[in-house]
Amino acid sequence: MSQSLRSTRVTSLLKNFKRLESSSSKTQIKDAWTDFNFRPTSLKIDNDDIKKGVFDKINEQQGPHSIENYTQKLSYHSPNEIDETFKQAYEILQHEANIKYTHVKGMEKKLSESNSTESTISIQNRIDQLLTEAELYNPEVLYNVEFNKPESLDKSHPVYRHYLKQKWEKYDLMITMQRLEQLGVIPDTLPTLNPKADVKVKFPHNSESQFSNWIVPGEVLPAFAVEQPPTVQIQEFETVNPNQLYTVIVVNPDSPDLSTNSFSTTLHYGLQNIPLNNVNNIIDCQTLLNDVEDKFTFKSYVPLLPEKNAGKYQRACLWVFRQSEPLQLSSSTISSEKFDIRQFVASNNLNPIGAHVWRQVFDRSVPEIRQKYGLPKGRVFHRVRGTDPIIE
Amino acid sequence: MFKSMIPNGNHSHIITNTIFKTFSRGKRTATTINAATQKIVNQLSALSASRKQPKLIRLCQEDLIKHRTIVNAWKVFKRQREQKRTAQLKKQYESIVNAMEDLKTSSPELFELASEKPKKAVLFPLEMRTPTDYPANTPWIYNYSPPAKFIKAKKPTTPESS
Repeated sequence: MSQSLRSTRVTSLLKNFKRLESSSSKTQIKDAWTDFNFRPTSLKIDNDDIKKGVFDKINEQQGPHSIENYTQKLSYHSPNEIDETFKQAYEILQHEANIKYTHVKGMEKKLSESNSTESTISIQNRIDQLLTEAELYNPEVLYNVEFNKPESLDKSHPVYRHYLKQKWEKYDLMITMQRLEQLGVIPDTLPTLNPKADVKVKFPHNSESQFSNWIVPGEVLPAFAVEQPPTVQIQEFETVNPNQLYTVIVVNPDSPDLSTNSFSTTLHYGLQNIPLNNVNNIIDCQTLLNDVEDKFTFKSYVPLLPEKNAGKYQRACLWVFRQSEPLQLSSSTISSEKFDIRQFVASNNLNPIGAHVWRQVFDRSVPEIRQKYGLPKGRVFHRVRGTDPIIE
Repeated sequence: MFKSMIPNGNHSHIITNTIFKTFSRGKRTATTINAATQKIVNQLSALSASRKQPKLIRLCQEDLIKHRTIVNAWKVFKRQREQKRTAQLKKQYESIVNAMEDLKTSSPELFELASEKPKKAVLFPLEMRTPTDYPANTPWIYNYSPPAKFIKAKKPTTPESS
């Protein structure tokens, strides 16, 4: 493959270089993937032994570092010629990356010269795209994405966010959308959702791993497991504007409404003006502890505490919104009973980017937690025979 | 993880897309399926599910990354080659169009000649013996000499003629 491959490439690359030289900048970047002066070190393989195994030949006497079992280690054989071919492949891909980084340099110059916000945003998006393309095939990045934990990846770099988004779209997003649709969160609360961010929820006050881990959308949780406010992680995949604020609410569209013999929506939790970015993306007890003057909380958390026989289950629908401007909501102006979520979203100019749902039923822990939150003793509903709605 | 390694691994997916089914209430309709597709469906149905899975690549982590990098480089190389070829063909086509336009204005007769459709291709040489059910009475002519016009051009490869 090598000879013909190189010779055909050389002409096209020369052309590319000539075009670049004439257009953007004259500084050529060489060996971009080994230069960490202008690239973050998070694009490196942390483990030196593994890195050596990737870039050099694996020593047959010692075996690959990634295999732990001693006998397996010694009996492992690499495919023939893989190292030589890898070197050529690396050269080709790095050449492409060099071109991309030269483009990035040109775009950065443009960015410093631009004065309107619109052009700045478009240039920033283009830079992100170029950076993603430049690092997409970097073997070190591939290794980190494939074998490191997603939490340890550097979310400030667009390439890692690109891979995380791919992973999210493959499984978690599909689960979330399925549950939102099947449980009727869409359209019972908001008409639809165009998902932009990965929203995860957990209740870390629980000691049992069954309840303290990230919960799967649609799970039925007991009242004691949701006693304290949830920790919410909002992973954005686009580069977030540094001044971006978020609103998070939890509503229950299944509160029994006896006057109409139907159900109404109740607001259980409301947070506003929360500054988040790609890296610091968790709303946890730390955020709430720092919130002394109720800057963030406009409706303090009250868990869903379903009364006995009040429907099959109640849905706790958590919605996450991007704000277009800072809000001044307060508990005095917003009534949590008969909460109109659609009107709330429209009047505050909110943009829904993600949602989550869990379900609750009446269980033995409900009365105790009702007492803790100072709520009256729960009603017990009975079946009423008759066809007429209960209207006075 | 390994499934993503091999492109077009899932054949059955491609096939199910070509099956068109029209639903109508209370009436059973047969699925309309292409004969060629049906053949592939039959062949695949004879294979067990495990055989239809893409082949698992048993490599250590380091070698798997090397393998993927090689595949990526090959993809990039092929894409660039294809782009170059397309650009070249586009250029050629444009220059043909320009030349013909030029000819149209400068000399319409030559344009007519140049834009004539090519005649139907001759699939068999005129000299070829017509295939018959039985061999010829004289199967081989030993003192055969080709016609004068063929002598200069090229020695004929098939001396057989009746």
